[in-house]
Amino acid sequence: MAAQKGDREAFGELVRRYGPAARRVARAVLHHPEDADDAAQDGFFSAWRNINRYDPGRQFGPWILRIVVNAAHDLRRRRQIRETDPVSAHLPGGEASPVALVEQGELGERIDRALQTLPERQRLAVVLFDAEGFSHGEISQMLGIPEGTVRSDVFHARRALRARLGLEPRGDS
Amino acid sequence: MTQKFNPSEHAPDPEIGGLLRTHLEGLAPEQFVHRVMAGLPQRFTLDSWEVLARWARPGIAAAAIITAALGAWLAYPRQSDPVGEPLLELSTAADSELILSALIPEP
Repeated sequence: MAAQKGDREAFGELVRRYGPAARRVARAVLHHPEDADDAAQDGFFSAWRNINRYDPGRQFGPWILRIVVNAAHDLRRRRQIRETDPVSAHLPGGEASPVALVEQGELGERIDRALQTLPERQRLAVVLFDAEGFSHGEISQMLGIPEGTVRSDVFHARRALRARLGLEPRGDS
Repeated sequence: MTQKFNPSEHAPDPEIGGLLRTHLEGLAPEQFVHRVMAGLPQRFTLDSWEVLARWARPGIAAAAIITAALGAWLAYPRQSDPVGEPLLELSTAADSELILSALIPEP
């Protein structure tokens, strides 16, 4: 792998390819886009420093995303970012700032609120499975939890999101 | 309460996945790439000659110190080792018997 030989351009390609997923996963942990970008960046810095530990025989995606999840946890500890208190499941609940509504749109606001009602592990599981397309097994390795737990987390997260977003229940939820 | 999983649960949910991707997507992906690359710490990637060159100076210095110490040790006359000297010279067989015998000599 060229990046392991110190090729910055090659590493830049990896950032370009896995950056969006890294930012989404960090956002699933930290909620705030700016914090998520900081964590994703920290993750890529850490990956660059430790690139020789990466086994080129395996997929880069799960490796970098595991690092990003750890970086997001570290950032939260360092900045003592408080986990947003779970909000009521009634949507649209609370007072949304007009600016946020304009910037994000009503649907974005609803998704944000729905996600915040979920425990972090379920958020990560559903983002990694449904949005990023990783298998239960890969997620299990990334998060260091049993595969059955991942399966259950995805199931519950989906069901909760569908209910809170007013989507029709799927076959499995 | 028992959970019932069905086969559709093994595949990603495109509707939820699409919503999450759109919502969690950060703005300006190319800007993020530039930001990461601009702050990327310098990694030292040395080839074998650079590694040898780095070791050369301390290596030569260490070799010089060892050579000087060895030269000094060889050049100066070595003092006699008191531990290696015999405690007394045995000149006769009787002396030797006296020393080696475990019995008390008869008067």
